Amino acid sequence: MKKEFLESVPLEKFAQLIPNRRRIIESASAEFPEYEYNANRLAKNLHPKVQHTVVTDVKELNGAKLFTFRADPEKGTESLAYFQAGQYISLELKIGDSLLTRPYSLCSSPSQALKGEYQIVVKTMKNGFASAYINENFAAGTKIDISAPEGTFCYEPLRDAKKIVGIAGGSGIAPFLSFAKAIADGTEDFELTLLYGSRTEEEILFKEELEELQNRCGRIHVIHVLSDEEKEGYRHGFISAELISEYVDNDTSVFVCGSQGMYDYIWKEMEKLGLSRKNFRFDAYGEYRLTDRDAEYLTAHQGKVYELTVVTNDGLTHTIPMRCDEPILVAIERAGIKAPSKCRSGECGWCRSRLVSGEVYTPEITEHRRQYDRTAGYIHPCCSFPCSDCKIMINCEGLE
Amino acid sequence: MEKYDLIVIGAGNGGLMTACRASQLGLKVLVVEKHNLPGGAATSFVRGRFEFDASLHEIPDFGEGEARGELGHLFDELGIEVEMLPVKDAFRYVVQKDGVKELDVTFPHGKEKVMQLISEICPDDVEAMERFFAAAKDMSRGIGYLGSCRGKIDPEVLRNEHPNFMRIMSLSAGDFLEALGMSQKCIDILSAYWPYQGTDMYTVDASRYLMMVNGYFVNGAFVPKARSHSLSVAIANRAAELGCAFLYNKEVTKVLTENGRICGVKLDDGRRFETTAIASNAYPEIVYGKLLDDKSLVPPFELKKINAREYGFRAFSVFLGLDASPEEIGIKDYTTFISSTKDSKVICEESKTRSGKEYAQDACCLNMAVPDCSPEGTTILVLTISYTGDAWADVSEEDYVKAKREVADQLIRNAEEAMGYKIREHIEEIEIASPVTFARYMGSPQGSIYGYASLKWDGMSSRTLAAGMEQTIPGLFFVGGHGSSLSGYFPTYSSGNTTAFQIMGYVKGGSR
Repeated sequence: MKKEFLESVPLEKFAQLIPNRRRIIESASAEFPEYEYNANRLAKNLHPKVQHTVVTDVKELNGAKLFTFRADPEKGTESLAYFQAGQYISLELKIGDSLLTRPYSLCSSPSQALKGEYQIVVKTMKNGFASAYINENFAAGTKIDISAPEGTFCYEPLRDAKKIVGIAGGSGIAPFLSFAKAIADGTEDFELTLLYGSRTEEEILFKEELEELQNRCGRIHVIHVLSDEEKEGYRHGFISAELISEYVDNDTSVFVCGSQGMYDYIWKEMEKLGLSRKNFRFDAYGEYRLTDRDAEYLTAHQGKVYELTVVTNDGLTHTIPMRCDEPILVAIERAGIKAPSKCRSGECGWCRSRLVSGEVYTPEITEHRRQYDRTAGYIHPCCSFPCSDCKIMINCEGLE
Repeated sequence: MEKYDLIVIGAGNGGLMTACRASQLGLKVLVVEKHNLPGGAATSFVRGRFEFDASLHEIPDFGEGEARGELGHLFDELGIEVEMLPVKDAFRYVVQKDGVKELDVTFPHGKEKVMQLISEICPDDVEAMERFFAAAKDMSRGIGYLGSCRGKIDPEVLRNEHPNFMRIMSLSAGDFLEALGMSQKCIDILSAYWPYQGTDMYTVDASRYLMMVNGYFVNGAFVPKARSHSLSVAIANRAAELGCAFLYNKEVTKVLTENGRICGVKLDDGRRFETTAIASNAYPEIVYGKLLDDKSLVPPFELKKINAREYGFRAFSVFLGLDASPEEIGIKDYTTFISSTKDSKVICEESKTRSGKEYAQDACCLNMAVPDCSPEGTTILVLTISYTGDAWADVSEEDYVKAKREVADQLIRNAEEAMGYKIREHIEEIEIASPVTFARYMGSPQGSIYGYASLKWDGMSSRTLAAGMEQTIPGLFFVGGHGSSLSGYFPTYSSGNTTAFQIMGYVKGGSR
């Protein structure tokens, strides 16, 4: 065969290609394929487009409420999606004329999801638009649509140390409660030392529950840090570099979840500790509030109201006012337009929209856009603030 | 009800290019995509300080300057602008089992450099390699002839002027390299690219393999500066400039027919649109089985074809953002194929399950082609393997993350052991995509990203010859990795472009 190389290959084989193809196809079944694709089933179960749920239980906590949700088969959701401790769900809300979303970390264990329930904790915030609404209106029987579990604030043994120091402030305890429960029931495998900051003893959320988890499982340690109260059995002050360093060594990863003010503080303290970047992780920022960091933007635009033109998926154009002290997404939601959003922190990209004209400001800390999007005129409205009148298209490019 | 000439289901590579070309030809086009951005697998995602490409490793036939390739010309002609950067070497290929290194060779781009290397490492194969390049020319001439025939091939012309083309078309890649009189060592080295085709060397067609390898060797490989997301958005935006409409976050739930022809679609929000033609980036089984309003219209031959076929590669990737420079990690190459054996048949058989005993994995370090793709002192490294079967069938929701992690752990270990990379202590960000992830975002059966497997009877040769002979429903066209040109960036762009012309003919020719 090698004698003449390619020339030794008979030409006749070519003529057989099509007859051979036909023969094989003709010998197959002509039924509609009924195979259920396993990977697709798994994808659908883990990441449903929407989950229809109903509130089954409401528990009063100090200044907060604990809500339990179950699947709502009446609306077509048979079971709740499994998740990883640390993930959040996004709630779809209608408050007055506003159509909006709010992300809440699940504070229940993934194993509870297998039994059909999710839990979130909602603290009534000062000026908290959605939290106040939820706490006043959600009761057993309330029907609510939520997203699939989202987010990457999860323990990953390939990346993280076996020992985690968790830093929580206020309702930022939610993902850590999920972590602790998951460790206790064997779903997760790491050691958790929780530095939990509250103003006073009374304001501590899940105090008994955390104590019980600590007693039941030797790998969970809870240290309460009170800022406004000195009391025996509690650390006093803020969660400073000094305090953190007592619990952190070379083989520790630090996870942080709390308010924006706390993030700013902890970030500075972490710099003092000199931990490498891979060793600390912040949960999604939450809705960004402009601060001193944004002085340049504020000086130029504070107090101004610009005009926003929104082109929606149905080809309609809406002209609405937008204020400079809140993200563009909020203006859209206030106008009753159901804009896509999930994390509201700039991370998930679900609100990605095309900025047709105008200029926006994106605070550096919320900048998670793709490189190309930054230059090609795409924004994440959940963390973009207007610098001029703007026109944007919400998921419908070209349908004007 | 709005009326279109063409509605494209899905904005993957095939759908986007069909839409762009059809718009340029003057057709009124609407693209409906269920995700919130274009690209399908040609997309990217951000984790912390890193932006990872979801699927792209490198694109052949792009080229620049005098070596501008076919794909580069297509982009130029349509006015699609993307910043592309060249990849220095073709690949490094390392075969190692139980600590014993059987092979470690770095292959350059450029025909002269390739010949130089062959003369050094396989001096007896210089003539065979010349024959390889000559065969690539024969192949290309033959494809050109087929394209010019418009379905009316003259057997005399074929026999007299394109005999080698006919021979190549009838061989597998492995048989072809043997027929060239190559030594086993040289065949082993040239086989390194087989995972890009998704079937072993004695199953994949010589035609496809030769064109791809030749494309890489002669015109080099390119990557977009800002991930494949920039390619997808650039094509979509160009299509929009040419008048194409896009609907994102919308799903086609019904394909409507009238008198046996395509006449419209219905969306998940209840809206209906009229259309003369549909180009489906979604698989035929999804259109026929789920979307079509009248199942009796499906030709039995089409159903038999689906049942006779197998799915192509289902990818598994570990995306790593490392907090050290490539130098500190020990990375010198852009693409490194790391295998436990040179025998692609063994690996294909093994990768029907998640056992991982025998493996062929690809390590791709983007910084080697796009140095500033991540902050200074960091590295983007993507490790990929593929499955040839429904290897994730037995995984439950509860065990899924753990199962993914186990495979990722193995891939990292393989790369560290074979290459001496220091990965583990530098992982700042990690994301793991399994076939389930691709199924989630693309909806392709079993999460296949390679369309249908390139089986012996269903490879590039037989699909090319059969193109246009196998009828679907009038007005229905298929584009993407499951289309006639098989999978990959170049083939899906290229077939999307070609299909747009066929659609133009259908629409303007009174829908005949």
